[in-house]
Amino acid sequence: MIPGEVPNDKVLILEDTDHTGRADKVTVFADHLMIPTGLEIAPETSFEVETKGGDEKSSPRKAKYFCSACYVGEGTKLWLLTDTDGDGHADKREVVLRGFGTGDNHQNINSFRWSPGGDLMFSQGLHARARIETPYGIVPLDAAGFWRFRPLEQRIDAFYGGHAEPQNPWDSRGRTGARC
Amino acid sequence: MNRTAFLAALGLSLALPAFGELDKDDPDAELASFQLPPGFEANLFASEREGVIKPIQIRWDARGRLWVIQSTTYPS
Repeated sequence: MIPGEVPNDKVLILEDTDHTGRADKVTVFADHLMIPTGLEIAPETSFEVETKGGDEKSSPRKAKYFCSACYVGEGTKLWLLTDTDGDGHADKREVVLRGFGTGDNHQNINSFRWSPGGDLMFSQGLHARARIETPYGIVPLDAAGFWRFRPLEQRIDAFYGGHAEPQNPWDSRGRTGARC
Repeated sequence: MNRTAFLAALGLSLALPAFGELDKDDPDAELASFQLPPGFEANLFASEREGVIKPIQIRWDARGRLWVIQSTTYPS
């Protein structure tokens, strides 16, 4: 980055449509972000549109559109980016929560993973000081720790805190842990 | 496929011991330098050529698509 340059960091979707083992289709799901540090897939939705056939006698057809979404951590914010019209690009950007610490930008909220119970878990690093505004009050977390976000309740809980580096909250066997 | 593709994608972000001797801009050269245990293979799924620059986190979705966040803003 140089002064005057506009940040244009991205969420990309890579697909291997011909099953060769190499991505052959790249879609820019979202752009003009600034140092996104966490990513997790959000639940997909779909809708159907009824279209008329080629002439009056042909029966109507239904086209189904799938709308992807993802959570992204970017600076002070947790975003929910959604494609609402099925074109593969996020056209709706909602700030889910704000107030995450940015004391050192490579320690911003990171390592997003769904827990086995359906909570969104993520970490923050040593120099982060967070004060999250929620419907249940302000939730603080100083220095390194874990976050647990419950999307259905819009509730977030802070865990651990302290002067160590938390690691990816869940492993493939559903275990969680911290390195001290 | 997904497993090998994941390994290759993971390899994008891993520093190699002999990386200094390689052309850093050549993903094929990097792939050729992998030393793998018997029974393993690595293939290149994506690289800077597909626009993946400084990947930070990757996630697979239920459709087998690889989602990537990347940053050209973060200092090199």
